[in-house]
Amino acid sequence: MSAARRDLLGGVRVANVGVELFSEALRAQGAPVVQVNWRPPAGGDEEMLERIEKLEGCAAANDLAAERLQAARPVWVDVGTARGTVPGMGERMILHAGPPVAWEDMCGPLRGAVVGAVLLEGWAGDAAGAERLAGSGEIAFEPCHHHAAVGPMAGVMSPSMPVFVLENRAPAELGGGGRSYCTLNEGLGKVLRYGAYGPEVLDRLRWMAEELAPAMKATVGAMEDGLDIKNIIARALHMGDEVHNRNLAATATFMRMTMAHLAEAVGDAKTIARVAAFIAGNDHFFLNLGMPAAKATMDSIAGIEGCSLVYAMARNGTEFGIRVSGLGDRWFTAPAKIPVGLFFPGHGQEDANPDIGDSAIMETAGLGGFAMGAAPAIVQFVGGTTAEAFQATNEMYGITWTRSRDYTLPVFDFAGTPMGIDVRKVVETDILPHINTGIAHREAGVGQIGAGILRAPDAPFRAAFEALAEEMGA
Amino acid sequence: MAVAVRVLAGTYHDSVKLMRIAAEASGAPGVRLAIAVLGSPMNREQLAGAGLLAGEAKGAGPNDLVLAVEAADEETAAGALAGMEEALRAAPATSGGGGPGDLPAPTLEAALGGDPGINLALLSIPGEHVRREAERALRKGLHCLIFSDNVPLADEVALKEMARARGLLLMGPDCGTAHIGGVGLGFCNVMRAGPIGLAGASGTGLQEAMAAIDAAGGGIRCALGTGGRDISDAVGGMAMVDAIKTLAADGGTEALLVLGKPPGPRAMEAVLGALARSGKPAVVHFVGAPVEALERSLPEGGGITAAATLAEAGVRAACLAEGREPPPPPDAPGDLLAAVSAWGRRRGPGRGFLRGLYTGGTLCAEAQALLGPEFGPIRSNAPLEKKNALADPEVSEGHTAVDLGEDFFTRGRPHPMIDPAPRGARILQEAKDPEAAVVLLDVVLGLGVHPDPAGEAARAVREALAARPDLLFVAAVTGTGGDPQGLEGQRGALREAGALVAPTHAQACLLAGAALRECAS
Repeated sequence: MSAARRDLLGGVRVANVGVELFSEALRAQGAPVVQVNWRPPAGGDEEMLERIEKLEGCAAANDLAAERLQAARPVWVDVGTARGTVPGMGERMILHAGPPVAWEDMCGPLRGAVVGAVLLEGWAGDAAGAERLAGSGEIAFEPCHHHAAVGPMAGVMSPSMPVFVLENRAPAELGGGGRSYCTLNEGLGKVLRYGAYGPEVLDRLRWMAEELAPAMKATVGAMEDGLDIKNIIARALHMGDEVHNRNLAATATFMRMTMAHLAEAVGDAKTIARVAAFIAGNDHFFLNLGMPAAKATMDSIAGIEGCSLVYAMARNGTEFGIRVSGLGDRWFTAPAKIPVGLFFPGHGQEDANPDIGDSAIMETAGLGGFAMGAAPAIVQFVGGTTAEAFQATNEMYGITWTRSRDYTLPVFDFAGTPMGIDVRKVVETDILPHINTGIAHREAGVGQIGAGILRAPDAPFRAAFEALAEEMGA
Repeated sequence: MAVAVRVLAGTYHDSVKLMRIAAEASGAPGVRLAIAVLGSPMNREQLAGAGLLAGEAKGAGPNDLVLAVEAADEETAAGALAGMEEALRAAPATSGGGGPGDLPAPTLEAALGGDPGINLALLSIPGEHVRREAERALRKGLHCLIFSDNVPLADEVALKEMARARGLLLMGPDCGTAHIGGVGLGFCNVMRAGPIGLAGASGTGLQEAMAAIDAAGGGIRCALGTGGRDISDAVGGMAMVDAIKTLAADGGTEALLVLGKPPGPRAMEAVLGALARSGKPAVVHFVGAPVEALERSLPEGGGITAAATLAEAGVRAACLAEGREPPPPPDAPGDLLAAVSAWGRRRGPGRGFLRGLYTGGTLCAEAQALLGPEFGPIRSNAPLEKKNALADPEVSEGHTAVDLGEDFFTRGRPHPMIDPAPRGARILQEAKDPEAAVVLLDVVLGLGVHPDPAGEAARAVREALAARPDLLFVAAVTGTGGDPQGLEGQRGALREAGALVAPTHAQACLLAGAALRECAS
């Protein structure tokens, strides 16, 4: 007789699929049971189910991708200027968040950020001139994602801007060696990434390039092996951050780990003071390290044949787009939705800009909304109850391929975060990824007006599934 | 009359919980009808039929929860609706008492991700979806217990072949009872540990046999269910044979007990062959199969004996395990037989019919098997012989034994072992029939079952006897000393209501038989 059957008689651990009273009866006996809230897969669509089944072969490729995701170790190694550091950054080029978008289609905050970048670069003398230039076709607009980069909110990056440089220190055979880039975070209020372009915005950006960036470069230069960002994220998850919308602990840990090196590497006390004050005053400073860490991690699984896992989710304020490993560079897009959440006094839903930013790379990597179980305090900003925060993470286990070994959730008995969104599972369960996000005012330059949660739109996942099915002959 | 409707979008609660919440709301004064269902096409039809597909409900889809109330006035309707919403909120997705780690998993795979040690999937989902979900579970190396019914025959066969190929057990479909690793699954009784391994194609059959084992002081290694259709020739007894092989190879099993309704000839051969090869002593019982005929087909010297009733099967197995001779099957207790005679004298002669009102299908079958030969035909909605089918399950004809757990009665309603109210209503209905004389009741205890089934039945018995003091109620409680409902208290409740309570269902049938003889004389 089979060992499996013998093992059953020794003791049962049950998955109860269906009616809860059986789970209750098992719990009453102290027997281990997990309740599975079953719903008809694919809403009962037989034809869709058969096609999902034909894509069973994705499993092997997904396992390979999962190994790379687990092995990824993003490390902050340098600071550079976009020109000359970010691959493919052209002379008259501006990178932006989200999938490709033309000037005519850009939303308010993105247009404002573009104007600000043009002025910063000195390509035009005033806002009107900047807009004319932007509309003239002389500037190449490309997604950050196409240049191994990511940017929060408008995500605008121009040639003169300083960027963090990160490297994935996984072994080469596990996808390691790739680099990623991101601008430094300006702080809150009237900032470029929300579309502000006034003198104080440009002055701050110039200070960041002239004083902050060199100080950061010297700091990381003084650290023998760079700064392990994965390690900071793992710690932050144990301290109440989800590292997308809540970066308090991560930023504080960053300061702790760099302060001594900053003091040693930078000679001038006043510089140190200004730099420290700037970072200390910015709750989200770490985000611009967390995002390229996630980017480097996810890029390590781009282009694995037959892999159904999502390696990018990004929004440009007009469209929401995803990219799937087995489908190479292709974007699958849908109109960006307006987040629902809590608004700062004086603002409401009617002021909100559609979802914007590359920061959904955090959710793509199993963090942010997927790690909400680590950050129940966030409900004070995005709304909902702490129970809903836990359920947000719990639900994501239904659409992901694996659980992170390194990013764990204390409140779930240190279960790994749900990692690797599988388009087949999204289509089968009708569960869409949760994203935590800031909400921008739809007019350029007003700034952040709130924070919220939203679900990714389902059309891109369906379209990607169809494309994968076609590709794999299903 | 006023109607109040609310739709909760994208909300999941399982069907039994929803029925409970709706049932409670329906019970409030002034409320005529309360419904809580998902907006599937079938449910939308039901709502429309009740005049409740109104307002928000019109746009409700299969993932939306519709709450609807019809009541005497708007305030009452709104109040009942609010009550249902409150009950939904107060009933969290899990009563685990643990942290967020106890939240229900969205899929079976997610559950396995969280606990790779899971070794059994218990499925209670619509029958047409069982095959896919069970295949998933089998592919992950899980044994399956399928509570669902309405699973196509072809699916059952394919699943059992797949399970066999992987060395896994697939119990069911339509399997409501099992006891494995010291834990009761589905509707099951609390049992002592011991050396008896049971394999049964009948849920309440297993329960009645286990109750007898418990009463005899014995204990079990496990009870494996196979689902009712397994021992038909169409399925050939695949799960039964695999269960027997499992018990044969299991060091903790010293004696086997196999039971069910009569197998098809091919399945019978396979089952008896497996038992003979097991090398362990065994008792077999097939409800309604004549024991002498069964004994003739038993292999010589194979250590297999046949029992005539479910209770006897349990007692024989307990004795086998202890290496002692089984006592002769007991008659009904003397004091109860005397009570029947007294009833007969009070009532006087005159035609009177048996009405067996059952929550457990196998017990309904046992009543037909034990009483049919002398008093037949006994009509039923689950007849042992097709020719005895009731024209309308809701209307008894002559001697009748009704299985209230059968499909006809359980569409859109919980099983009577979970919600005994419909059986209470049927008791009162029979009391209105002047030709009904003897009412035979099963009361099944255990885990997963209603917390006070005897109490519910006793209420109806009392009310019926008040209107018809000439009726005789005979009952048996299927339960063990460890069951949460309290075996003695449950028996006491029925006695106090005026029913004669026999120690086993077989003895209850003997009492009923004695009473029917009184009617004939």
